[in-house]
Amino acid sequence: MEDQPVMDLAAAMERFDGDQDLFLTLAEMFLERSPETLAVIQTALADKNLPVLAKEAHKLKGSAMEFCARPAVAAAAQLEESARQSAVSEMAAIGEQVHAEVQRLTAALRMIVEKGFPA
Amino acid sequence: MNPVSGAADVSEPAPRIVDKPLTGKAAEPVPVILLVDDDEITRISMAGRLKRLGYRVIEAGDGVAGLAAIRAQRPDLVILDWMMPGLDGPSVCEAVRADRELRSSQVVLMTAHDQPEQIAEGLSRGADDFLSKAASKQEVLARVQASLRSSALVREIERTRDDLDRSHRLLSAKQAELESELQSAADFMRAQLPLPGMPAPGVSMQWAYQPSLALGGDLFQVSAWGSETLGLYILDASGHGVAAALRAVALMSFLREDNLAKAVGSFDPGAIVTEANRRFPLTQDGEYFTLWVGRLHLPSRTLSYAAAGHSGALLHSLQGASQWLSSASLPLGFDPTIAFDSATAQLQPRDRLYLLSDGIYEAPSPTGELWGRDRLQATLERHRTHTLAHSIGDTMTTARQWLGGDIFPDDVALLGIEVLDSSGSAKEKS
Repeated sequence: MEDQPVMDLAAAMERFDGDQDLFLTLAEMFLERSPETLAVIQTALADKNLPVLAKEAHKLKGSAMEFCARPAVAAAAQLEESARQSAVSEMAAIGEQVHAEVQRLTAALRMIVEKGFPA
Repeated sequence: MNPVSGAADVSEPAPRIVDKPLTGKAAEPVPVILLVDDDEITRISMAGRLKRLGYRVIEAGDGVAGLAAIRAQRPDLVILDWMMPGLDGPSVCEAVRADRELRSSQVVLMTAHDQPEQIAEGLSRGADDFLSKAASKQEVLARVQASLRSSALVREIERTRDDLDRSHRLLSAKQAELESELQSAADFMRAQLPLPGMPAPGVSMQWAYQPSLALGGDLFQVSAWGSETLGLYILDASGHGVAAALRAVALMSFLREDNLAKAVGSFDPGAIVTEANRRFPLTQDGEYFTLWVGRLHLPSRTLSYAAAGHSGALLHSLQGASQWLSSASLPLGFDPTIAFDSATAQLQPRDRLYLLSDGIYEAPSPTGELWGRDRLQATLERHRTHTLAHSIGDTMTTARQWLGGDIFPDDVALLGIEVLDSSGSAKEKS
C-alpha cells in the first residue's frame, strides 16, 4: 500500500471544482484533528472498545475520502470493518497501518498548506 | 485562514455559478439544500461543493438539529449523512415520513459506501435517493438536479391540491347558498298554496303536492270570489325549476281576485282564460302554461269552467258517472286571438271535484307504462267512502306504488273539494 500515491490531488481538486481555498480549509481541519483522532483510536485499540473504534474509523474514512487519499481510506475502512466484525486478532496490525497512512497524509497535506500547491 | 462555518448556520449563495443547474428563468428562486452531517470535514466539503454549484446551503450538525431545520426552513432538498450520533440518517427519514407536514420532503441519504443491503434499508426507511461521499462533481450535480426536479414536481402537485381544496370549499359554500335560496323560493311557493280546510262555507278542501325538484311549476288555488262563489284553478308552467316557478307565480298574480276584477272585469272562467291567453304568450324558449279555471256558484252548486290545454279536472259524482271536465283546447299563448268558452256542470251534495296535474296520471311504472287517467279515476272512486283527506293521501300512495319510488318525474298536484250535504249548508255553518 505504501507504493500507492498518498492521495490523488488532481481528483480531489476536481471534486472541489478547483476551489483551492476550500481544499486548504479542509486540509487545515484535518491536520488539526488527526492527532486527537489517532490518540482516540489508540486508546480504543488498547481497551478493545469496538464501538468507538468503528465510529472513529468511519469518520476518518470519510475525511480521508475528501482528499482522495485512497490508502488512508482503505486502511480506515479495514479497521472499521474489523471492529464491526469483532476481528480482534487483526486489529493491532490494521491499527498500525491506519496510523502510518494518516501520518503520510498529514505530511502531504502540511506540505501543501505550507508550501502551496505543486505546479 | 478561512472562516469555518458552524452547525446549523445559513450560508449565503455562492457568488459564482460555474455550472448550469440554475440557468433558465431569471426569476426562479435559488433552491435551498439542507445538509445534515455530524462530521465537519465532510459537511464543509459537501457544503462548499454545493455552493459552488450555485445552491443555497443550510447546515445542521446532527439529526435532531436537521429535523428542526427541515421543519423551520422547508428546504427544497435534504441531504442526510447516514451515520450520526443520536438520530441517524434513516431515523430522520422515518421521522420526516411520519410527519403529515413534512412527509413530501425530498431526502437523499449520504453514505461512504454503496452496499446494496444498505441502499435497500435506506429506501425502506424513507430515503428518496443516495449520494456517495466519494461522488464526483458531475454525479453530485446530476443527483441533486434530479432530486430538485422531483421536489419541484411534488411542490407543484401540493400547490395544485391546495388550490383544488380551496376551490372545492368555495364551490361547496356557493352551492349551500344556492340551495338555501332555492329552499326559500320553494317555501315561498308553498306559502302561495291554499290552506286545507273550508275555503267557503259548505265546502271542504284537501290537497297533496309534490314537486319533482325543490321548485315546481304547478300551482293551484281555491278561494272565495265574492260571497256566493268559489274560484278555483290549477296551472302548470312548462319546464321545471326556478324559471318555471317564477312564471307560475306571475300567472298566479294575474289570477288573484282583485286583479281579475281589474284586468278581466269578469269572473267568468272563459273570459279569464281568454285574457290570460292574450297576456301570457309563448316565451322565446317555447315555454307556456296550461290552465284550468272553475267558478262554483255555491247556492246552486253550478260549476262553470274553462281550460287551456289542461286536462286536469274530474267530477266524481255520487249519483251518476264520473266526468272529466276538460275540452280539447290549446295551451295559453299559442294563438292570442282565440276565445275560450265556459262550460258548466251541476254538482250534487257530497260530490267531489278533483283538480290534478298530469304528473300524477303520467307516472310511469318501472317498465315504463303510464298509470293513466282510468286507473287514477278508479282509485279515486274506490275511496268514495273515505274522507277526502284519506282519499287523496291513499291515491298518492297508490301512484307511488305504481311508480315504484317516491320521486315523480314531473310535478304532482292533486286537489279535491267536496260540496257538503245541504244540512251543512252555508247559512247554518256561518
